Amino acid sequence: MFDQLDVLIRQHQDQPGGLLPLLHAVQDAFGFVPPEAVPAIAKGMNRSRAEVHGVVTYYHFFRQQAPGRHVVQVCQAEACQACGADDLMRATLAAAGCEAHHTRDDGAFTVEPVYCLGLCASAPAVQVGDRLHARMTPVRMVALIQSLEHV
Amino acid sequence: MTVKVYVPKDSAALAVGADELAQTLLSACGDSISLVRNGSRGLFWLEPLVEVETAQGRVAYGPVAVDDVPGLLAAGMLSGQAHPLCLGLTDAMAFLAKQHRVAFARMGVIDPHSLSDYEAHGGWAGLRAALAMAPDEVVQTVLDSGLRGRGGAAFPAGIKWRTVAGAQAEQKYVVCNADEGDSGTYADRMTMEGDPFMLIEGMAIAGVATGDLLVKGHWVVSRYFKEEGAGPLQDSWFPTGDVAKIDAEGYMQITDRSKDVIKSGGEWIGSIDLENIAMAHPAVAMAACIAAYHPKWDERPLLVVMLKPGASATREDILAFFDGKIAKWWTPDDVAFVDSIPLGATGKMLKHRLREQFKDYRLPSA
Repeated sequence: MFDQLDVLIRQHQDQPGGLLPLLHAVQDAFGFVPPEAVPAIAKGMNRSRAEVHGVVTYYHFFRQQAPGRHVVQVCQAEACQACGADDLMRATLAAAGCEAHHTRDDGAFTVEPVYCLGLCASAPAVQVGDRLHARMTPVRMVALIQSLEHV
Repeated sequence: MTVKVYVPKDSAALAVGADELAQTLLSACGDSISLVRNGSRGLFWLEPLVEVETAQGRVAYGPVAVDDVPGLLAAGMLSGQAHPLCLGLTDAMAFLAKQHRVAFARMGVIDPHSLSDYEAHGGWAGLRAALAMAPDEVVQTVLDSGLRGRGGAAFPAGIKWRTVAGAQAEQKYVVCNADEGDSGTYADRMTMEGDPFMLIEGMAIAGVATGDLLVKGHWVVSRYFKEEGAGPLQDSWFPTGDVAKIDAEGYMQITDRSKDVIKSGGEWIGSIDLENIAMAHPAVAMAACIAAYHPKWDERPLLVVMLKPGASATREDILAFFDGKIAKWWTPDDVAFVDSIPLGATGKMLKHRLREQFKDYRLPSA
């Protein structure tokens, strides 16, 4: 891991405002920002560890633990709540077999509540991996999760 | 003859299956259609909204699911025929017919990846106009237009631009904020996906007006409007007279006005660095650095200084202030004290006036 991390740090360390692009690159490469990477990132970017930790924890987008094979994000913002996001979340958790913010023991699914996917006019919305789904229903959600069970 | 069919490809359309629909249409129709992936027109409840080009104009159908395709084709969708999902001519739809679209004029109409579509629908007209104006005039035009940002602050763009234009800085940044993810608000994603060149053009105009900019690209003007002859391009670069760079991440850094760079013995000296140092001197109210003719080095920096009321400083005091802050050979050759430095409407120093004023100036080192 550290070899790849070093390459990423070197690609970003001379870039003004390079910390966020670097953290994105780290999460793209490893699926999360490993806490043990923070000291190297801080040193490479000439920041304190506290500053890097502050940025990583400020943005919910950055994960500190490895996610499951499929990350299921269910929008819980106002427009989606008004269109049944609570029911959708309950159905999602039951089908995925884990709690919100958690990963199932076998590593198949991580379920996360998120606050606005920008699809308010087509609520409720979810994102599974890189794919957005709007006007989602509990029935379609369960079918979608079941289709990913062994993928 | 192929029929032009539009299926949007922005996030809102993809989230309701536009890609699968496009694939189904291509499989069913093959070469008889030419598929354009436009952006959404914003009628999200009708997405995926399919449009078919006919002699009467674009005819809309929506929301279209993959399962609807065989029935639509059988009903004659490709020639704009009736069907329960048919919404008639797009432009005549009640929701759109009442609108006068300005910032959204191209949204959903063009292929967002097509520069020729963009240009054919009025793209680059603003940048062309801006390049023919002085930066101060561009700022004034934006001020007069009443253009504002959206969102809670809705700050007038012209005031923002005037402030940035007047700021003295080694680097200025043009930043486009978008898609903040605030529930129920319009957050520019549709613009980025449906008409992205508009943002690039707007940012380029901001660069021309508030900083200094070089532009390159196949859309850049090849000659001035209504002007005959070879045009201004040099090796495909449009000489805006500005210095800027765009890095690998797409950040544009505007560094200096090229006329303000002093060419000394083939090396460049950035006037802004020298001005920033001089302005930090406690006795200096304002300082401008311009090139003065030098028989050996072609140009050497001449520092024009306006002192604070009641303050005093000598040429030697000012020059000593540069010691250790920059390379020795960057240090100005002379200091000229003036009562005032001419400023433009946006508070920028008018260096061309100073250059005119000091055109016959003889450096002590010359």
